[in-house]
Amino acid sequence: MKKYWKSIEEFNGIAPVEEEKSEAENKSEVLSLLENDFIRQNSSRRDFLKVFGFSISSAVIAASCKRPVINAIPYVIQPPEVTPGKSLYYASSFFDGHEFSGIVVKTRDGRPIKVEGNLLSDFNKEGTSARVQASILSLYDDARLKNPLSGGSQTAWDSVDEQIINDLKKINAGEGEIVLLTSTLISPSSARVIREFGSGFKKFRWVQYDAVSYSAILEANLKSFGKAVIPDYHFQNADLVVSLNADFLGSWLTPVHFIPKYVSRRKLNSGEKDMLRHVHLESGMSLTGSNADKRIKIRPSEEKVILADLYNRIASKTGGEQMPGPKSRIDLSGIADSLIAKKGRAIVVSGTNNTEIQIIVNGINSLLGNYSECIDLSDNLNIAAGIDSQTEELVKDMNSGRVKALLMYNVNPLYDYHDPELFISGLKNIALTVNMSVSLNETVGKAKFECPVHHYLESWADAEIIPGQLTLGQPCINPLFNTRSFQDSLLKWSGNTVSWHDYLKSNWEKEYFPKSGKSNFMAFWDEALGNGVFRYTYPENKPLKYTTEGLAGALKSVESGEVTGFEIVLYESVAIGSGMHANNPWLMELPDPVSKHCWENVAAVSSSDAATIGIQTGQVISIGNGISLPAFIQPGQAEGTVSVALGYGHSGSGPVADRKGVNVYPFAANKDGNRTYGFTTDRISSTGKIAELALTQVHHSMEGRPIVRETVLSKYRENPSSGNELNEAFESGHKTLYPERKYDGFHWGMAIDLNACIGCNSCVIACQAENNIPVVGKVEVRRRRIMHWIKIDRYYSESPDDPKVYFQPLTCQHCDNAPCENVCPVSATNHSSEGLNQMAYNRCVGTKYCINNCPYRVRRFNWFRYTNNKAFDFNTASDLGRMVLNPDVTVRERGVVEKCSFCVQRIQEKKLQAKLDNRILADNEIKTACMQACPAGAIVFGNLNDKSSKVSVLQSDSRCYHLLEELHTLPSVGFLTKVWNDEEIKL
Amino acid sequence: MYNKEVRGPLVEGNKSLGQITREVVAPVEATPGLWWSIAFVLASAATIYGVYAIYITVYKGIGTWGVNNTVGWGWEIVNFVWWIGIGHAGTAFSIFLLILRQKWRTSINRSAEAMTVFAVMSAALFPALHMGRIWLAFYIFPYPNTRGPLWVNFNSPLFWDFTAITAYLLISASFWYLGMLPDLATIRDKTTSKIRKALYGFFSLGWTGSSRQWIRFESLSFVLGGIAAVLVVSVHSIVSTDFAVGIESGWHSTIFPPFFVVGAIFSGFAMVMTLMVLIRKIYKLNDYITDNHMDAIARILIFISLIMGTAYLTEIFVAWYSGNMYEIFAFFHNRITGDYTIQFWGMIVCNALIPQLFWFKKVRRNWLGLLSVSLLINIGMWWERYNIVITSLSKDFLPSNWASYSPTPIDIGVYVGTIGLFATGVLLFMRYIPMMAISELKGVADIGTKKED
Amino acid sequence: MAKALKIGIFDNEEKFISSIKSLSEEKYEIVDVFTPYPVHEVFEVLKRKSRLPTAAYFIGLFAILSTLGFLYYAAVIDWPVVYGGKPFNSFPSFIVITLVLTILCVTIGSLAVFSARSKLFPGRDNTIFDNRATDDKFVIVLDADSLDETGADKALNIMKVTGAIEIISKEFENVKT
Repeated sequence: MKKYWKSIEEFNGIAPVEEEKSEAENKSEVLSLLENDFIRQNSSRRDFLKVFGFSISSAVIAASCKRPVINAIPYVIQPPEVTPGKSLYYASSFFDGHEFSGIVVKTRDGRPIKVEGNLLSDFNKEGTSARVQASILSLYDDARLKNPLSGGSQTAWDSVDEQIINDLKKINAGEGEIVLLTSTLISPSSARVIREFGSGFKKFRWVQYDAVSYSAILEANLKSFGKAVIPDYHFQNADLVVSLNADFLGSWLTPVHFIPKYVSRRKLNSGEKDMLRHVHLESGMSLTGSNADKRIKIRPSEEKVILADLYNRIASKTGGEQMPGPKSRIDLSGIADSLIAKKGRAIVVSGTNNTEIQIIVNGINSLLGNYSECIDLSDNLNIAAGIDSQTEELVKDMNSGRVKALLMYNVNPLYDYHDPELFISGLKNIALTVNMSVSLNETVGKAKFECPVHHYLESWADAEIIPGQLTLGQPCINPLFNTRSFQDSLLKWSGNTVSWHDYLKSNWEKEYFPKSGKSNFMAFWDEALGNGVFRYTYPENKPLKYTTEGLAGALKSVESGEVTGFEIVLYESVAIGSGMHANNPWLMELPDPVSKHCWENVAAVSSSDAATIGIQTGQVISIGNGISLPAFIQPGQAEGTVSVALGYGHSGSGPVADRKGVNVYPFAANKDGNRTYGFTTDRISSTGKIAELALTQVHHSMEGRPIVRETVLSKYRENPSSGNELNEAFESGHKTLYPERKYDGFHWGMAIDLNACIGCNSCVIACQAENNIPVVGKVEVRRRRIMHWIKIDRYYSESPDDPKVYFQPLTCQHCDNAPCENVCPVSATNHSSEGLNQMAYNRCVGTKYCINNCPYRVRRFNWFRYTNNKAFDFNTASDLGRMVLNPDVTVRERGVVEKCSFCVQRIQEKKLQAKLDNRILADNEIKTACMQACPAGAIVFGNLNDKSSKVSVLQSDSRCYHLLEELHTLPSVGFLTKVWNDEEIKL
Repeated sequence: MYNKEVRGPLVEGNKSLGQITREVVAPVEATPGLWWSIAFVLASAATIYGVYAIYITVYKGIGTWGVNNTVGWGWEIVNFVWWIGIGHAGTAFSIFLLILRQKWRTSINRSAEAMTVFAVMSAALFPALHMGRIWLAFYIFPYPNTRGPLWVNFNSPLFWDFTAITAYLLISASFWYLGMLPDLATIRDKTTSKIRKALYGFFSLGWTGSSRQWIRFESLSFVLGGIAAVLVVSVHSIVSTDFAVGIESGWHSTIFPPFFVVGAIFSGFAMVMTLMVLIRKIYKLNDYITDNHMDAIARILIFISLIMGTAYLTEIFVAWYSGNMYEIFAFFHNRITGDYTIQFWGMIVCNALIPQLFWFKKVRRNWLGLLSVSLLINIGMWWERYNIVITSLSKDFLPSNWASYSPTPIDIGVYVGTIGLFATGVLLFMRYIPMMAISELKGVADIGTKKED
Repeated sequence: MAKALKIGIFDNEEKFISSIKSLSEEKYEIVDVFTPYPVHEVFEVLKRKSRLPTAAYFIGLFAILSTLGFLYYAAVIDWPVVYGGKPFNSFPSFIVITLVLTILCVTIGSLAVFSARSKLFPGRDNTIFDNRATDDKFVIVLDADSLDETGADKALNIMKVTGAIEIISKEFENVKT
């Protein structure tokens, strides 16, 4: 056999074993270095399995459904005060030129997420209105202006400033008049800025303009008292309130300030036996009217006659000078006598913007001596300063060409001025026009320069709502866009280099620091900033002298001529208000407290008129010339009147606001010196078209069911449990198969005083903001799929022409025998050890059985994906809008059921805090969002096991009952009966 | 026992055993007629519409249906209960009659059971679809999991429902298949085509008809029959608890379990009758499904419809007698009068009154009469479920929550789809499976026992 | 292994039965008889019994106990949750589930037993002695090996007398029944 050899060594029989071996060793070493089992040359079954398993799992991972990418960008330098996951609270103040509140802003990781009332602000305490609650969302409004514009094209601040300063110089050189048109400003420092700015020019005028004007009151008081002020009304001191067309609980002046005072005399807790009696005369069914003990329907044209008649009746009995005029068709003897009986402890108010009417009202009040305790002219309300005649004059001058420069701040005349064409034609005459606006609106783009201003949460501010009551506003977030505060602009344009913040500070140092009696300014400043409020005693407090100036004229001018045709009343709706925040989806979807419709305005007609015209709810009618709106048969609407809400029908205020309803501001023309929110027409006809309204409640009778239990004061005085007899009967009738569960430790519960709740809807928006509740849009609301966790049910009783109105906040009752829990197959909803009916969203498969089995129907289903879905293009559709979401509350997925959780995140937060401080949780320490926002304090939350807690006391009150208690669901929420004041005060 | 002097023979036109085999197997061997193809196309079209509707539902969400936050259950649950009801025919039919040794069931039970299977399949679709997150439907299984393990809520009627329907589907299917074994074997032994031999051979599980197999076969079918009878009663009782356990007025009623079971059998028998009339017409099987058979079903239907009528009256009486204002509203102001009168009176007329026509022999013997009445009963039963589900939900305790309900094209699509599914199933059954239990027919045809002289 | 069998085929139930009767009186070992439908006399004559019901009973008993046990464990011991103020052990709810699951188990169980005992499962190919047995003929199968010539003739004779229309003697490779 031949021998083959590859090397001489091999041939010689010296096998290169060493090398080979070492080679192998090296290999194995290298491999072992890799520490990778499955590339060993001899791979075992085990290895195979590993490889196999790995490849399978990797394949699975590769193929498994895509997860959303979430970018978390950490702070480069962590701010000392920020602890991730912990909220910071900044005291601030809200004023949008129309509404004021002292607030506390909750910020999380540098972004404001919730607005809450500031307990230290005496003006509104913790109460806030729906609009203030919703204002947080306008901060993240994508429609906001993001850059200064010059002639419609984006530009830099410097160039804008340069051009404006030059133009101003030129105009000033040419003796041209420079006008600053703003909404009402209550910021003393800003006023100073403006004065300084104006002083730099030869001709300067500052006009304040309010879309919803109160100039009549100002002018009337100027005549009667020599001081153009809006008085503060102390309802807490009044025994009798007679109001005419003044929706002071809903929209008139500053409800959030009036509600607590009013309600403090309506609550009957702690054995209170007296309450304020409220008589209300109005045309449309307003929130105030629906809370009044006695409501009288009148036509707007009747008001003057009624007041004159009332004046004369009172004058005849109190020896005032009479000017007998026509008698009103309503018998006022009762009211007159009551007023006289309650001399000095009564309030007569009129919401009509008519100087003569207001003069007569002043006359009546001064006859009754109400100015001593009930109506306060010295600590007046600076809520509105606009004088209609001044605006008229301005527009005239603009058209005549006298005005050479117009700077507009926070106004939207092209939307809410009664003659936009006239205004725009005037605007065209003006060389320099600058618009400073927070958000997109109709006026934006019409001026030569757009100088967008900060949202109030981005800027410094101060406010003096009542002389001597100051609040500070501080930025809670860096400006989101390239905006600049209006004061900064003015300072710059007046050649002042100091920043607005420093200016404000120095002004306070000059003005208020001395009044504080503090030694160190910084200490004073920090305290004021921390509290958000500062009080000092306002110098002149001498009572003003009443003069009957103009009264005679006013009374003489009264004619009893019956107006023919329909009288249209243009009112400010509770949800949208003046319309400034119409691009806010929360407010757009907030149902009107009385009519329960949202997303548009409707023409409220009385049932009898509807019959005569031959229309039904939903039929589109054309009113006068140019208004065509869906009709809405409103129980309690005065015959011959039609009420239409202001603030809708935008065209250029953003996607949410635009094309919803009709803008009726153009129909609020100036009549005899004041802007009149209403007009008369005999042309009302059905267009035959049908519009499907977005109603959140379609049935209005209680069907004789004991849902809202009521009584009258006289009966209540005899027997506190009157009207609530059923409670005893039901409770005693309960039998149970299983022993009732006992809760040791906490048992959370709630008490809602139906006598305190005026139905203002603040709680609804507060809840929406706190709990990330999505907006579903008009179409879905029509399908009855609104998501609000707390809603306010409204019922009518008695005749549809003149009904009594009842409000009932309804949220999850957290029943101890919850029917919903039994039926959930996957146990997504069950009961906590603290008596909470809890939802595990990520366990829910959405059978909707719990919805069906909840007798209160408080559970809401996510019919679609509402978050990050272009089909629902509201705040949660954009990253900017989602910045408002509360990180403590899960954002619910499509297909799960959600509902009120008693703000469990707040409960946990406070519990943990108490545990950290190693103390017992105090009563009222935990406040649910609805309770916190309620200006009336109608909602009380607490521990039912603690017999001394406020909620336990209320639930043991003889007025307390549980909704549908006959079903023995054992709700944790108790309601207190509604008590009407039925006493007719006679002489 | 069955007395043919009174009711006439079970199989007419005295046939030999071979003839029975041939005649019953004929449709399976023969190529289908044109009508079959057309019907099949239509059925498939309906099914496809259904598939589309289901796709939209799952892709977009339940929001594409007409339901809302007040009326959480709509057509889907109505249809579910309706189908389940129809699904009771087969099992009820064959099992009750089996236990009662009613030999005349033999020529009908096969198709009745087939119907059951397809109906229950259609029904089972709805509870799955009406879930908001169907992709998590497995949460309803009480399986050991990493969430605790968090089990399911055994108090929930929906869970009972789920178990009951799963069991019912499995059991009725296996019962049906068991009955088919000997016939599949028959085809296997008769057929000439290789493929058929192989297929039917496979599915007949090696049936030979030996006495050992037969005795076990019989005792098994009695065991299954016995317990499945309990199931038939319990399934729809459980379905009824979905409502009876609920707190809604008009739901919360102890009469529901028996009432639902009877209703189910009612609609089931009606559907059986519909099918039988058609099968007779089409396949000329009058000798096997004789007029006497139809007559017997018709008589049963009269009897049940009387029970239904009584149940309706009882419900209304109790509502009034209880003095509960919510019950009274639900029945007197929301059904008898009010917004839902059409559904209510439609139900009364179709279920309680029209079946009374069967008192007349003319109607019982007229195929058109039988067909139209049985169809009307099915419509009536649908309305009954509509009454129960939707009227109660749309107007319950708090008037502020009252809302109306109307279906969307998607709702309708799913329903049409299930009808398509059912029809497709039945058509395939007619095509590939002997429509009658041949072996049982032979058993009752008493040919072998004929004395020859 | 091969098996020699004598197969008698009848087309009439009566004759068929009488034949079986006489065969069994003569103590012939009948392998089995095949009929297109169940004939109860056959069971009596050949003393065929089924213990399936007993099996079903025990399956059921097992099902009930295990279901109840599981429910109690899951709802009370392992993870108790409060639903609507009910106690953890809300027995009435358990009854329903137990009932249904029991029925399910019994069905599946007895089906399994059936297919195991009578050797019926997909793809099983039991010996078919005469494929008319599932159609219209009644078939008796005798084991020819077990008896001598005379005995065989006698048996065939009995079948003839009782009216078999046809008698086949045939070898069958590995018989499956």
